[in-house]
Amino acid sequence: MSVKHWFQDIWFVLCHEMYRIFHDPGVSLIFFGAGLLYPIVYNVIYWNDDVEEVPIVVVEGRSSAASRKFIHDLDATSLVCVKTTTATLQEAKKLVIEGKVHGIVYFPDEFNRNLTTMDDKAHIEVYNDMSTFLYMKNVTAAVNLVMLDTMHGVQMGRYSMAGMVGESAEQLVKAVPYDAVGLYSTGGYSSFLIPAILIMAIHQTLLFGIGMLGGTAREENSELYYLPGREHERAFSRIILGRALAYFIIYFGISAYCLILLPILFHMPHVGNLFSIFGMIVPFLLATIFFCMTLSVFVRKRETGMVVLLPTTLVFVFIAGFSWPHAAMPAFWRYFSYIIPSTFGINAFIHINTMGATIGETLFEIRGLWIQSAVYLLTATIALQVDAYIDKRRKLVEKEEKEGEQNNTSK
Amino acid sequence: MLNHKEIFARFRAVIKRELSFMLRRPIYVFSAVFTMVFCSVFFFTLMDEGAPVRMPIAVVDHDQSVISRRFIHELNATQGTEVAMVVPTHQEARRALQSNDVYAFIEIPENFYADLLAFRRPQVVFYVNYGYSLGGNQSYKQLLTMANLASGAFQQEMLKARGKDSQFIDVMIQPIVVNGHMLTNTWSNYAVYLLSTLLPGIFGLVILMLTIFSIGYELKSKTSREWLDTAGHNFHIALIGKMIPYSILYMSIALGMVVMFFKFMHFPLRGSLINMFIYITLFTFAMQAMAVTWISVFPVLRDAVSAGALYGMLSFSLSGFTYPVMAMLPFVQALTYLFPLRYYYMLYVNEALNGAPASMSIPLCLALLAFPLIAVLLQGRLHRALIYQNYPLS
Repeated sequence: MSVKHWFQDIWFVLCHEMYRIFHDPGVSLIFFGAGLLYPIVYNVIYWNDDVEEVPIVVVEGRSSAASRKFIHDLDATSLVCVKTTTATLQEAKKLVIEGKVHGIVYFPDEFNRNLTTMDDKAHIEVYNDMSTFLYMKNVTAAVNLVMLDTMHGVQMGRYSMAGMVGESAEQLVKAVPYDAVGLYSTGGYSSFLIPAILIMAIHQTLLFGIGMLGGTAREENSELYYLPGREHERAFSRIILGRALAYFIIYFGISAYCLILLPILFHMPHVGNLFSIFGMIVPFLLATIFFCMTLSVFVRKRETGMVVLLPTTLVFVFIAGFSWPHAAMPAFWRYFSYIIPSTFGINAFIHINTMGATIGETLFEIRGLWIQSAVYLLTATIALQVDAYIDKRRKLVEKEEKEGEQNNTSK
Repeated sequence: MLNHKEIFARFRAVIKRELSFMLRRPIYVFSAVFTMVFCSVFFFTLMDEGAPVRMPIAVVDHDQSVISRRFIHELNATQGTEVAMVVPTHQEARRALQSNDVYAFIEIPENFYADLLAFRRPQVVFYVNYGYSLGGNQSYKQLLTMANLASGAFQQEMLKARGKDSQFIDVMIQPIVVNGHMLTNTWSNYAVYLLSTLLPGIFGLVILMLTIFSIGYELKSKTSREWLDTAGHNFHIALIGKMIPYSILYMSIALGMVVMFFKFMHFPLRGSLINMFIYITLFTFAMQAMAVTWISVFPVLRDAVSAGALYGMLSFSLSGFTYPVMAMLPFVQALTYLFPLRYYYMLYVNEALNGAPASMSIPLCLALLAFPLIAVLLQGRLHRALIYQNYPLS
């Protein structure tokens, strides 16, 4: 067979696959509906980057200037808002149970006395509503911030009473000043979650879409390994490359939309340069497409893929190691995660898009994606060949049975 | 009107028919059980250590003095961080941060020790990678504490030199103490807070897909008339009879899940185990009802499966168990009421974490019981589809 024919066949498979995608409302809905709309939906859900003004209740044993100042400063932070004050801890706890507030800051009776007399440390008790981690994070951070500030004020006052003022008191109170530089992101929830969701949307819509196309082909009895319209001519590499190219062309557009356009539109972190992003998109799409094509060989019915594989989405999200750090993950699952293209995809995208890394600086992930592309291209081919072999045997058996029956009847 | 005997006989026929279908295609029942077992094992082993402790951080030590080394030692001794590397230059630390080997680094300036002794207030700088929220926040908290402890340690030495007694010094360097208490979840365990809603959520997803499939498949394979025949042309007997075997399966899985959470994994539970089982059972019914709703809206298997999948995936975000509903846009907040997982999460918080009175849980239970009403509103549409099978089938 000439090279020209080989390329012609690939082109032919590509066009045929495109036709199937655009004439299948189910697949179109997954590719274009979910692939394009889902990222927007998630951006709208996580519209506010972070939780602000978590309502809390304050319990003051004995109100004093010091505690009032503390409460005022708490309320002034964007993290919490002091919704109400109660006299007893019991009442405050009731408010938490009723879901009206999400934290209690309790000043014991001796708070003010201890601050003024220096007999003992002054205590503040914080009770956290643990229903959502983000509540606790806000309340703890707010109380600690105000506490540090108040503490420095108190210390300065005491040193000045002891005759140390100005610079020399400051030298003691803040002997080691610090400056915190938050890099790459605001630390907010959505700017951390959305980049991963964008990659997952591409990964999972490809998985379900290709699975659906595979299942449909089976139901229509047009086996995956024949050249379309030319039954009996089996061609593995041409078919796999042609189909993969069709998905690649469509998803190259969808990826550019999800990973380049949306971060700009929704003011998410987007500091990566275009060259690096495309350098990541290409291997990510290839790895994902071949991964999904390998799995799709096992999908026998049109809907099975989605019914059975939908929960994998959550497994893939958590195993990727961005919400649950890889550092805290058992080694087994860490290595297991390297099987799945979304793991490298999410991390490479966060590195490039959020942290401004170049391809060279996220080489581990990029290399992983290229290795996956090669491995899954191989497995997709093998799976298809095994599938063809099994089919051939089955048909042979069926044929023999039929002939056997005919022989029986003729006898 | 039918008498009891006839109704009973028809139910039995439909259930028998469904059981034989389940046995003929065991992949679907098997995948439900397998998914739940796998996910339980997966998430429990993944989050084995509870809150991710000991985040790796780096230190850029420009000083290399006794004090800076002691500082690094102290930093390594805190339970939240692990000094994974000490590097001589900012660039190296930055590279480690960018390639995700560490979540934060701290830069100790040159002449740190000398400046400290001379009261020149040497400044340390932390660089925190917020690209990875959990790791970054956790590391930042530890570094902040350390920097304040360092100032405290310095004051302590100075005051000691001036002959102050230890009680005085103690109160002086830390005049205010904040004690954090967990009001409800006494573990402060990330796994508890996450899995107690995440696993039921995955369970809900499985129920949704499987229920849509079991009804949609009748339409696709054009067996829906035969199904109605078995039920004596009574739509309700057909539908409820079909649901019963699955409901029993789901209730057993739900029971297993509740026992696993509260008996084997010892998740905190203030209220009663039986109530939790009732809530999760109501949740499984609500998810079945939502599945019937979707197949009624789109009486074509593949469309209903796609729509159900889109809806099901959203329930994780909109139930508000990770990102609170109060932080969402108002119209998104309104949408959260359409997801049974939201009610289950609130019931779980009430019963297991808060031990709230029944008066707070009853309205939520009623809300879960209201989901079948949505399906009832659309029942005519599904009934017609079952009879006429007039939707595209391929």
